[in-house]
Amino acid sequence: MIKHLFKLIWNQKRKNAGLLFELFFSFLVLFAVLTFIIHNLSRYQEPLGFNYENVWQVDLSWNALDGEEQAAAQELFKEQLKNYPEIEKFSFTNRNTPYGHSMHINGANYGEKRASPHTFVVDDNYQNLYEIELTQGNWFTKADMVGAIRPVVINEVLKDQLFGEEAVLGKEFQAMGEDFARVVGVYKSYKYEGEFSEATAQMFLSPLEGHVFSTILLRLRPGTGASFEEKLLKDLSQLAKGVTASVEYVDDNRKNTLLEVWLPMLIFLVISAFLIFNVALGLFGVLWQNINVRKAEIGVRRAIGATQSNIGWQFIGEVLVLSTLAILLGTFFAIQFPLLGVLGLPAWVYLAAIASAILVIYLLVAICAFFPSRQAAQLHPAIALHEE
Amino acid sequence: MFKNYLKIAWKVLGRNKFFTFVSLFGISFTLAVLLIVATMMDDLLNPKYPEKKGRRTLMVNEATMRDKDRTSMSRSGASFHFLDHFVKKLKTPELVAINSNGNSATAFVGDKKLALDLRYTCENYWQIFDFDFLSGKPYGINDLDNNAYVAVISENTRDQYFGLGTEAVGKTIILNGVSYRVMGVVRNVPFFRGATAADLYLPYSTIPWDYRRIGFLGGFEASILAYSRSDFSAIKAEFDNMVSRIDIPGDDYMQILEVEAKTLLEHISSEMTNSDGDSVGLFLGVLIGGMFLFMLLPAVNLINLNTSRIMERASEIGVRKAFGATSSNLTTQFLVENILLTLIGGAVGLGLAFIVIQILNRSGWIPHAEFRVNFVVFLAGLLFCLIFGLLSGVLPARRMSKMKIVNAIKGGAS
Repeated sequence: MIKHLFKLIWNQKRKNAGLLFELFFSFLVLFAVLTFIIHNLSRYQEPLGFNYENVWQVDLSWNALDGEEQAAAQELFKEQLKNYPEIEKFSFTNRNTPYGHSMHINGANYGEKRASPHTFVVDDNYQNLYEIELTQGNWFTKADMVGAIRPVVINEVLKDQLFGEEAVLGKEFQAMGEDFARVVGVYKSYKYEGEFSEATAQMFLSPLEGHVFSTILLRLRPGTGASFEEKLLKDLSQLAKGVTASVEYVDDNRKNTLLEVWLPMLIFLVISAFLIFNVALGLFGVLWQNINVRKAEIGVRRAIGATQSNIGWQFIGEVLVLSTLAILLGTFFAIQFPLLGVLGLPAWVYLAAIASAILVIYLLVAICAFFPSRQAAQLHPAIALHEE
Repeated sequence: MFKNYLKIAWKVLGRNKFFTFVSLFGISFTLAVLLIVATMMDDLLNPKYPEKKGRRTLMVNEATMRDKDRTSMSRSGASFHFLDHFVKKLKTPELVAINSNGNSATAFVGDKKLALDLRYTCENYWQIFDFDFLSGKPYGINDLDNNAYVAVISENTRDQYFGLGTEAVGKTIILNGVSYRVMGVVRNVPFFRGATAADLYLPYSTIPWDYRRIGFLGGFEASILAYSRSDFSAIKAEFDNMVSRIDIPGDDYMQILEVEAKTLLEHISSEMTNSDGDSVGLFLGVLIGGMFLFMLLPAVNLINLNTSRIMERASEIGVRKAFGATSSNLTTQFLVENILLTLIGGAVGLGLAFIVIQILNRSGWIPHAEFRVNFVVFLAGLLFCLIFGLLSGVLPARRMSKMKIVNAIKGGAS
């Protein structure tokens, strides 16, 4: 049966070559779009690891202030922030904060093992403010600083890269160039670049004595509005002359960051949906036309005893064989991505994309072939032969 | 002859409505998308409000410093010092304007917060760029010399801060806690205009930090207006010469300064392709290649449709061949038909693109954008139609013209 279908396809090879190419190309488009979507959705599924709601980020520009003045202003701010009933918690940090489009990467080694963790220098309150979940140990406090060795909290990814299965608490590794840091805690997840970002190796380092931060994070009572912001900025600028402060809402920054992925995803989806719809209509037209031309053949087959369903299945079968060829060809190219590991995505993403692209193509072809085939099957043998 | 082709083509279109619909759907959607992309590209690349003199403007918006071994580098906007001391002193340009490449200010209206993008500019800025002043006027050299706290705001800022349509000139706006007097209100600028997009403009004399410090990197950019495009090479030569003669103190770690005066196209190309050197060719190549690829699938679809439709017309072809029509006659006829079809599809596509662009402009998804389908875009659309028509017509036309007379008259079984 299959052999016979191949023969039928081969007889119309020039016409079928066009269809084959069209299906092959559609498969590639689907594969690309689905890879992009599946990859992003799978990342979105992984836990974010912190709570962004009601958090404000105050960015400080120290402008012309020198180091000592900056440190003094920072102490003043710390005292001042405790006075507001609107502020539940606050924490000082460097500029690389969630959804902040700013990153800092450091080399880290433990014996022979090397890693490049994203590095955050924050104060003791940071975990409490962002509600980061620890799996081992504790967040660092002032008391953890022993001589020149800084306490550090690392994530599971960095732990696996540097220590593997070893127990980590209390272990020391080179965290910034020559300096050693001692692990006091391990946390699960902190995807500070947003829901769609990759879970990278990370560490939180305690600041050195006298470190001046550039950013304050505030967790506010729900419902705190812009009038408090105005008051806060006025108070801060009066507290330390020459400092300019500006406030961003982490919630808003999050929306913008997410939009950078949602928007292309939506555009790709709409455009490929139109392309595929276009292909489906074309396919439908071509199949319908083919069947019209082959009326004589249908008539003869019906006259010598083929049933309606025989005829219907023959046409559907032909199209399915043709699309299988296109899919095999497309899969040959698509499978190179996981085999060669070109873009660095996990292999299962490509395989899932290939599987769903295959499904969509078969579905599409089956729908487009169904109606013309039924029409062919219902053709009365006498009428079909009469045309000849 | 030609008129006959058109007549036949028209009849064929009407004969099978479904096929005609499928063909037109594919063509018009494809061309609509291409036209929208072309409109956006035209808006981005061709001089538009307020950068109308863009054709004879060069920009300096990025500087790079490297150490002697070229192992580390840092890149950002240029410093005010560099632009003011070196770029502004160039002899060949007509005018040089300096502005900051984007700062932010916070203003409050009742319990509402306005986060505003601002630019600090010099007085020449208002001469190089043709802002439409709805009321008031720009600040000048006197305001800068007197350290006046004055501001030019956009229409949108006015509406949000002072109220819709209120006269704002002469009133006070409080930015980051500092009072400024509004001198002028300008029409909104779309966010993607590299040198002019902002919610408000302030004289650089009011910058609250030490912007004049010595160095090469900073948050500033310059626009260099030439007398005409033909001066570009002279300006670039003088610019490069000036950069090469700058004396960087020997004990500085960063010893090499790289900075260029670029046209808008050169700037956008290097931005989009993320490369340092001359990337205009690469950028345009990728753009055109991408459009071609996008057209490919609908074109193949149309080829397939056309090929199978030939059967429908086999007897007509047979008769024409029998009466002496040559292959090239038939090919031409078929191509004319196909191009007519794509032109109709193109017209529908143009309409679609026009509607989508109106929706885009009104929705505010792209802040302050005012895309227009203009003559350039129309020409581009016509070009797309012709490419598409040829792309999808040649193969079926050749097949048709090669059909054997006997087979054709009999009904098309090849």
